[in-house]
Amino acid sequence: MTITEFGRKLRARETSAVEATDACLARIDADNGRLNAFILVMADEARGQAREADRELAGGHDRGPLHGVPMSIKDLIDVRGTPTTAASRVRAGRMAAAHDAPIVAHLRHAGAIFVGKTNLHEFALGVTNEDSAFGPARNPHDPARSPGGSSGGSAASIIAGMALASIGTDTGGSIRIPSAACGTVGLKPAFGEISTEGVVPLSRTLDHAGPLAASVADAHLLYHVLRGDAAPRPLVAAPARGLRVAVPRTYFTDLLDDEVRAAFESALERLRAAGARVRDVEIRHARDIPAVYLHTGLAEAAAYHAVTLEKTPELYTPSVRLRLEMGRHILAEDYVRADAGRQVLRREVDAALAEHDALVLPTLPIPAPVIGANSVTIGGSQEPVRNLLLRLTQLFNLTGHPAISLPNGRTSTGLPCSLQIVGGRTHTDALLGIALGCEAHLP
Amino acid sequence: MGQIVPDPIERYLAGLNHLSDPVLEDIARAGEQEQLPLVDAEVGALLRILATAVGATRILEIGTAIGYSGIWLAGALPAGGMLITMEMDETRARVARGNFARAGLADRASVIVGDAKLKIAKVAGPFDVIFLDGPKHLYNPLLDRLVTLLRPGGLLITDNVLWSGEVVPGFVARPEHDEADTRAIAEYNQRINAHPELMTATLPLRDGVAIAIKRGAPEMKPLLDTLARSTQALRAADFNDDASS
Repeated sequence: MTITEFGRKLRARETSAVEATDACLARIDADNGRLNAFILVMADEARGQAREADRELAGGHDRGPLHGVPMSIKDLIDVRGTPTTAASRVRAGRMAAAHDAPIVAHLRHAGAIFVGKTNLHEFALGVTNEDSAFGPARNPHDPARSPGGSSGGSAASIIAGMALASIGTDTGGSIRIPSAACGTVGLKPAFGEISTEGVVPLSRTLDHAGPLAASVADAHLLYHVLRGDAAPRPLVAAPARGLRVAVPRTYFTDLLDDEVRAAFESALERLRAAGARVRDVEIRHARDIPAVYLHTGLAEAAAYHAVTLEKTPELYTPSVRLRLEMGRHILAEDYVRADAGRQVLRREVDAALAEHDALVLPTLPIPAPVIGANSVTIGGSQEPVRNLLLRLTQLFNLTGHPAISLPNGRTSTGLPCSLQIVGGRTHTDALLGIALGCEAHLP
Repeated sequence: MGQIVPDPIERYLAGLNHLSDPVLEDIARAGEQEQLPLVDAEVGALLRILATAVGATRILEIGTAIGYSGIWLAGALPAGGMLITMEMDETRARVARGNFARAGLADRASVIVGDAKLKIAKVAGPFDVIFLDGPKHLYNPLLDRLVTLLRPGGLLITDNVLWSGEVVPGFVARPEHDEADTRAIAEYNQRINAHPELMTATLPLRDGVAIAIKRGAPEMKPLLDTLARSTQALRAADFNDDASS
């Protein structure tokens, strides 16, 4: 059920906040043991919030589209009265957050109900949600597989019916990757649009907060609430007819799973059939993306973790600790070099968008990988899973362009495929309009 | 001839050494003629064996001279491996580059000309093996940075740590030795043997070779190799830096 559908039913008195919340809590009760999507379930608080929401609505106080909507929050983000674990033993023993993060405060003010804090890859430093002090989260489509990461629990919670929507963070792809792996919509807004105060940082230059939801319309609603916009304009779909779409090729399309490629090309065909103009573009420095990303993100993460890495390294999961240690070997001059690379890449994406309304590419080059797999055979060679999962998303963290992942059908074994749409750097609303228009043409 | 190991034994060890080759022998002869302070073939062999034992792909050397020890070290590298070696003297550096090419190692040896104390800030670690030879007054100033550049499980190998025996108080063997150098080496030996991050053993081979292994997780090695390759790729990328246009 989408937020929009729930809102209609709620106001038609076909359901209530309490009923929706109870349904989510029941799913959590039944399935969280298996899927491990939640670190903390806030059953009592959620029921209290739901009763209050219904009371308010009955009394004529309607807070808007999020009123009474059960949501989950990635456990990297402060919710007052609960600890923010970051899925790490490093933060065990920390006091509960005294205040909501501003984005959570906006949600609370809008009437959203918080059913719990979701599991994530420790400190958001990973894309499979495998390394967590609370154990791996699992993909509801196939529990032997990763839900993607780092906001894996968030995406899983929506697909498993445990929440109608979630809030996550995205530093290299951590909203879009699990959205693609689980089959939700995930939005990384433009850099700086949504406050990251009250969010444990990974890499301040690359961190974004944003929504995961069941539809583009829902993502749009959440986006505006997170920004604190009092009364957002309703979302108008940009028609596919006349839409000028650019597909970045070579680096972005050379290494794709066969079924993912087929689903992607099929989506392009549908858009063309609907009247969109699809052209190929090249991002000249695409091959330099991984090196620029590593020397930016990992250097910043290592700096943030330097003290705890020296004092209590054993409290990290081994894989996260080793990668943070690696980051401490990055020289300042290479961090500065990477910044130059980032500027160049930003200009190249701007240039690609100068003649087009949006870039379109898959979000993930492979379907959700099996938990524990270090590499995957693709295009006849073995590639590390981590690199593959980041390959198509991390560029837009470097450049700050808004990017959204939409479900795009399934593989023959039922695993979600995905489409990523990228818009102009100051045009997140325009991107959402384009995404709404495209969504109608996707399976 | 050495002060530490009696000449007959040094000759015996030289006779046992099967690892030298005509290129190395030629360079050794040239070095001897110029009275350059090259390591001998037995220390060279030790360097190659240690680098091979730790599976070195990245080696740092301070004190290239004409590349003699560098060839012993670089000969342990796989394709794609790299020896970065520093030499103060421009002429010697040029000869060294020629010698690396003669040995077929031009693709895996990079000679940096300059004062190691300054140039050391420019190299990105981590290294699997660091060989410290060079000017003795640099041993102490460089030590901390070299330990940082060394990966856990990597080796810091230092030459001349017995300094003709003169590190022993009251022992005078070579009047031409600068007392400051002698003091520096004695201090250096104390530091590396007591260093919290190092485990050190000293071989009384030739003029004394100290071998120190850096403590820490060996599982860092593949990650550090990955970082090194990524840094190499970043530095090779053309981002139209103002400085290079």
